[in-house]
Amino acid sequence: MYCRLTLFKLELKKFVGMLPRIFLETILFGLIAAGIGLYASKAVYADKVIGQIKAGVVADSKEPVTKMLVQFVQSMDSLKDTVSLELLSEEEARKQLESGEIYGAVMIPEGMVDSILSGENIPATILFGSGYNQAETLVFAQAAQTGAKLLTVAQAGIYAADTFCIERGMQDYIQQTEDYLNEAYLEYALGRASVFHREEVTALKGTAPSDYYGIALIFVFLSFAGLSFGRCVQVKVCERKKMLCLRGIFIGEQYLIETGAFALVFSFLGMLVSLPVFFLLSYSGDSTFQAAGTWVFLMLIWFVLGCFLKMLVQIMGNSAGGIGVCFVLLLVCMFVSGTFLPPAFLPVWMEWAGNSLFYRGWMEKTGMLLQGRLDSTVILKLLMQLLLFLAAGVLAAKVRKDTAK
Amino acid sequence: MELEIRDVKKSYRKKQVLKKISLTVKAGECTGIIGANGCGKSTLLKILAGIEKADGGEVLINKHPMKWQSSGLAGCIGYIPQESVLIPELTVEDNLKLWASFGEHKKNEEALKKLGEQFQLGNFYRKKVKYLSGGMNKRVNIVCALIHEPSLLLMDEPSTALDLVFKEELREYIRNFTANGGSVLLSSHDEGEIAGCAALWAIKNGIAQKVPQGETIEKIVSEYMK
Repeated sequence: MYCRLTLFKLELKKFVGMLPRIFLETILFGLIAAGIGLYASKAVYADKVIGQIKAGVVADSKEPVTKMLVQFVQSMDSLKDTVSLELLSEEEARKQLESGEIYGAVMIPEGMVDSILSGENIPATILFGSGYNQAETLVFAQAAQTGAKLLTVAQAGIYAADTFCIERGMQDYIQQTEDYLNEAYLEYALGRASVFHREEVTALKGTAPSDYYGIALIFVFLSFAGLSFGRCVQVKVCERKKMLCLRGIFIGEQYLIETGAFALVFSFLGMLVSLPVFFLLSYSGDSTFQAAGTWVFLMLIWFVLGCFLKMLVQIMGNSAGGIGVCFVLLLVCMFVSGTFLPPAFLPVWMEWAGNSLFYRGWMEKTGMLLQGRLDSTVILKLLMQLLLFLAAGVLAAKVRKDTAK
Repeated sequence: MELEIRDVKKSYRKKQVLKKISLTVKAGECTGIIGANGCGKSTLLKILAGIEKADGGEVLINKHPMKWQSSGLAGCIGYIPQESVLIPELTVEDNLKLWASFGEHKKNEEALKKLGEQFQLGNFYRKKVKYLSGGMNKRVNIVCALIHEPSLLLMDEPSTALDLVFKEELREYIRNFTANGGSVLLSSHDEGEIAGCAALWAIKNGIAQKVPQGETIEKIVSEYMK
């Protein structure tokens, strides 16, 4: 027992001694990842990040249908955070376009809604301001298309009713049916549409965007820090390991001792790095974080993450190639789990795949603990994962020993 | 301690490194193994140290069959491998502490003090192993093997990287060790070390042959090394 304790203490000392270098290396890894992220976001969003797009709608304010449509489009979950529509007069719209207060203006001619419903289709004019990028144009075009689609659906319904009346020999009822349908669609259907938009889309269950990005940042940083540590871990079965076996500390025990020391140092690093970030975030306006005793349990998450990274390095090896493979695997794993981009923005299959990876769960658990919520199943799940990673690591170490020359 | 090796075989995948090795190491004697690079000297020492398993044959220690990977045996055998057993990120002191922590650690720590003086480790006791020279590293490895005061020493090219002073120091240690009844089995390419061996065995084509006493180096090289 004394020799195992000595080995554990020395492994701890080894990893603590590595901390300064690991910190610098992680920053380097982080810069590479940030560079990739920046390049990717530039490719997607061009030079500017989209803020809220202000646009005007020039229409006869007395026409209730137009007003209702504007309100409906604006209330859509997918648009309300990016597009703000305002009913303006033509003169106001042109003035605000010139001053750059609004991005564009949709000029709805008088009787346009009636013309669509009757099939005449008088076109609307869209005026654009200057100084906006392609992404904003795309978003605005999407908003305009949404409005047009709503009217097209209404129009199709009315044509269908006309055909229905003609086929049944009820031509006299066409006008009356159209009036009823107009009333039903515009007054009732649009008003009740909000019923279908109840599901809240958030980056991470119940957390604000700033909280989500804070958690994601810490996970990315710590994962790369783990890889930097991994380079200094003895993965191969060397003479020392064989001789320690001979002295009674078997390869599985050696793995557990080394992993225990590594994960302990790693979890302290995790607390050291994450607590100030989360504490600062908790003061931001929309943060859901609350300083509470549950924050202590974050250490368990970092410990589990440490064991996961150690297992990964044990399986892949810590040569340059092995670390490279681990780096790519982690990038993919984090991306699919929604660490770089909120899961809501990912394709459905990727979102589904991310659910079965560990990062999504860890990020959600981190969010829960930071909000002061603690569930015994969370701790249980983490302990189960810990056992899984340790068992897989021991197995990998034994396989390496058996296959070594 | 007397060591007897009978028909030991070892293969790595399809290559048979040791075909049929039989030799004896008498108590109180230094026995040398010579042979060309890759002939299986290190493999044989690893088998005797218990870190590799032989495919066949028998090893007897004081006429008793050796049990593979027995930690009790590890206490009476000191093995100095070619590869360093030290943790590079730790200091010499920490590494020695680790190897002294096995068995009777208090007694080992006492032995460590004496060995530290004998092999002059004091100057770099607090230095990290990764900053040591090859010779310094070797000296620390030798001390690690000697901490438990073994009665049989297995040395795989022990004087590699050592300077002339420490080569002589090591020879002196071996002389005293055997004079006190200890047995040594070493593999070497060093003439001085070979000359100091009471018995010499050559491994060629996976078989051990005893080299007659008084054989000249030229003859040894031409007959057993090529």
